[in-house]
Amino acid sequence: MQDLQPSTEPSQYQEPSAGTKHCFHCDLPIPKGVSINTTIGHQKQDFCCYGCQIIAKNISSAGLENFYAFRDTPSERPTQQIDQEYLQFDEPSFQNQFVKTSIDDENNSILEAKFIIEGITCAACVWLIETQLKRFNGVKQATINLTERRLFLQWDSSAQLSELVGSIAVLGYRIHPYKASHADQLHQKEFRKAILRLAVAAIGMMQVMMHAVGLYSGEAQGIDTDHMNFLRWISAIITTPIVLYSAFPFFTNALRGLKARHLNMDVPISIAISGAYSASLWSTLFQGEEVYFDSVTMFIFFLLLGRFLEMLARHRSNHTISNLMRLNPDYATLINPNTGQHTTITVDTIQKNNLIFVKPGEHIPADGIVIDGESSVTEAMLTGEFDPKSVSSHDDNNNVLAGSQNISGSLTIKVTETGEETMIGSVMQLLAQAQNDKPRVAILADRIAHYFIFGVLLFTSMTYLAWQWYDPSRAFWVALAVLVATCPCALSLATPTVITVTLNRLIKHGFVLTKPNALHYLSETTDFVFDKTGTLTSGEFSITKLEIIDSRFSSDEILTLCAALERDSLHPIATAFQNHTNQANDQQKIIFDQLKHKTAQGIEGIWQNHLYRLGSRDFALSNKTAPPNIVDGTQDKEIILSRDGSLIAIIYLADTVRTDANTLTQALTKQHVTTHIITGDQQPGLAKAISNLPDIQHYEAKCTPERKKQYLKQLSNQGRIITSVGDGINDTPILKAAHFSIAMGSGADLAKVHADAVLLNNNLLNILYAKRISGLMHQRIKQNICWAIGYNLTILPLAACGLVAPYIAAIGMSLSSLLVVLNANRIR
Amino acid sequence: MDIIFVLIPIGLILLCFGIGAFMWAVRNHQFDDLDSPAHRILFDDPPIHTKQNSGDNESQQSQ
Repeated sequence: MQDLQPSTEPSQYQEPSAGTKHCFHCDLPIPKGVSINTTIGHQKQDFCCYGCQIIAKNISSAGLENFYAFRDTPSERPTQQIDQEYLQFDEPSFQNQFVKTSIDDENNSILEAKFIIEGITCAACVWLIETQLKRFNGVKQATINLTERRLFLQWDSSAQLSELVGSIAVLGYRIHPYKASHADQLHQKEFRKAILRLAVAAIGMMQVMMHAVGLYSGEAQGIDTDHMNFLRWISAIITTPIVLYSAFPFFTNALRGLKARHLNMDVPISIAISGAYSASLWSTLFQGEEVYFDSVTMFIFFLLLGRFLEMLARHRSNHTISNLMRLNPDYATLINPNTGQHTTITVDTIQKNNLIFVKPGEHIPADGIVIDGESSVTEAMLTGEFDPKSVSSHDDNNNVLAGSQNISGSLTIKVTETGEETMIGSVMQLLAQAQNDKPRVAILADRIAHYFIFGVLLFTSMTYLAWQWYDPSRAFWVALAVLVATCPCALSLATPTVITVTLNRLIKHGFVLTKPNALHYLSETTDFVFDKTGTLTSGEFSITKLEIIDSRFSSDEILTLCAALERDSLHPIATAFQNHTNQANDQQKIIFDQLKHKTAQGIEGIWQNHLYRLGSRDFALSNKTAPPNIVDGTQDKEIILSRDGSLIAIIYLADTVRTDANTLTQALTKQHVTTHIITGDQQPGLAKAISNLPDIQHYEAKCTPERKKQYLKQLSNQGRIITSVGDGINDTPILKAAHFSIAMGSGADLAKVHADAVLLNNNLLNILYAKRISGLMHQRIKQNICWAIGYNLTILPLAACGLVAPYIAAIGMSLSSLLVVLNANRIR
Repeated sequence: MDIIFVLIPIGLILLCFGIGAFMWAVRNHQFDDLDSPAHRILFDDPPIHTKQNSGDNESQQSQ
């Protein structure tokens, strides 16, 4: 277990460390030079970005600022455009896919649907969303299930669904329609059956215990035979449904195991339950010496409780996965080639040679060729390269790939490939290969249990035979005590309880495990492999340098001008200036007239009779010879702000390293973990990132997904244990091939589905926390197994000698199980 | 002590009612969410933010 320096602990909900302020909304550290604040309640609060500020303002202006007092986990930093319109939610063809309609008593139609809500971190979010929705007139019911992170909404025709959805989006949550999958329905059934079985066992156990007190004290003080028989009969009546209903899964599992010639844990459990139950029943019928209904019910209850906890942990991770595989509101506009008419169709019905119209801001639904229009598109999700490339029907740059985003102009595309043949589809095929390369998780625990149980059964029969020879009247009860005492109950609880506790702790820190089985690899990791763009860097442009040529302007004025120009732009450059909007709020608010976006060139607009241009040299400057030739070695992207063709300032932009990336790599190096960066980016971009991250030991640029996969395979062949961290679709092969993989919450959905864990709040330091917790988890599981086996080995000879009555064996078993559960809860 | 011949069967009948009520609750989605109801009742209280919040803020602003 590696120790973690206290200074590298994630600082969530601890006092902010000296010097760094934390965002009021998302609690991430506020980058240097950013000063955004708003009065919330009666206090001035600082924010890390305008997204967080707007959300906090929205919450506050809705009178819901209590949210900040209620919550115990920080919110997520918004990654989407907040004030988006959700008009597609009003389309009947879209609603048909997930909305159910019914008629109420007064003949009004009631609509109901379930939604997946991303960004819920704690119970206060539930309150916030429900309160917001219940203010709408048409909303009949709005309930959120915190475990599933799903919203059940009932509304009538007086409310527009798009408005309801939008009202949640402005609070910083992402909302998607939910369509129950078959697996989800099975889970719900399983859950309900399990909780009923558990309840019957629990309530029944209490009753039987009560009567057992009567029987035991009767034994000590003397009791009427009538009374004793009556209490025995009552206990038998209550125990019967517990054995037949609550313990039913044990019998079926044992049978299934025996049929497959495999001794599972349920075999000795079934023998112990049915043996003790039938013997007690026989005692009751023929007034034998002892009944052990109390032991039987307690035994069943504790076993069921362990299984129930394990099931809850399993379901929680299943919810996370099925929430990721949501129904996407992906629509495309089809153009009728003859009439030119536009119709909206779902993406999966697009066919080859269809003509598709793509508006700015929309994602391109299929691979194709631009036949009309010009624009720039980003392929960030595919290649990691977020600097847009320009496409046009006039030249050779006319290929567009499915999954990329259209930025500046409208395009008409002729579809060349759809579905699996698209670029995304081919990455998916790589994934299938990578899955086979993944090191198999050994099912060792299961095998141990198999031998252990065989030993227990053998030992029990030997004990029985020995007692037959020594004292036949006690043989059955001694054998039963051995079976109950050695029941690997604590052993079976040892792992699931620890995993449950670990999962809950990690979720609190925004670290959601989608596949918990691989978590133990995280603590043993020898090599961390990172993607660069979007993972170690923020994947957004930010200003690295501002060179003012025209000294009449201050830097603040320049940035405000740029922000006003880029206000409606979807281009990634716009994000660099988003922290400078609204600054000159009341006096002299800059509003440009005739804002025009010129594809691959820049933006122009008129304000106070001057023409301002922001963009490339050729575009912004009328006098092409004039610009001072500033050659900067950093290879940053250069954009120019001009007024009436004369130069005002040169702004250098680059993707900057996340504030916590350096802390992370430093801490990893201290723990003797080797760090790698493999990226699809070009060399200069990588070099720049490396210069800010001195602890990175290995790096490689211009990697194709195939190369990335190969890189990991090489490492893996050297016996290294790899954890990979990535965000894009191009990273999915490394996510799949590593022992353990983490996807960024801001990343592509496909990456999240294929990673073992998702870092919801993008706070890299939580990786360190998760690493520490996974080490602790490993340790606790070992401790628990040692304790469980040690206890069993100690009680075994005592039970075999006939010194342990079945009820003592049952108490001992319960106590040892309890200890295992408590030990698991010590993980922090 | 013969009263137990009456009282315990009555207890058994109550037990059946208890389990029946529980089954009803499970079927009516009462147990589908085991996490949020525990917190939910706290949120209906009138605003408490002024005090608690200002404490937080001072510590943040002093940094």
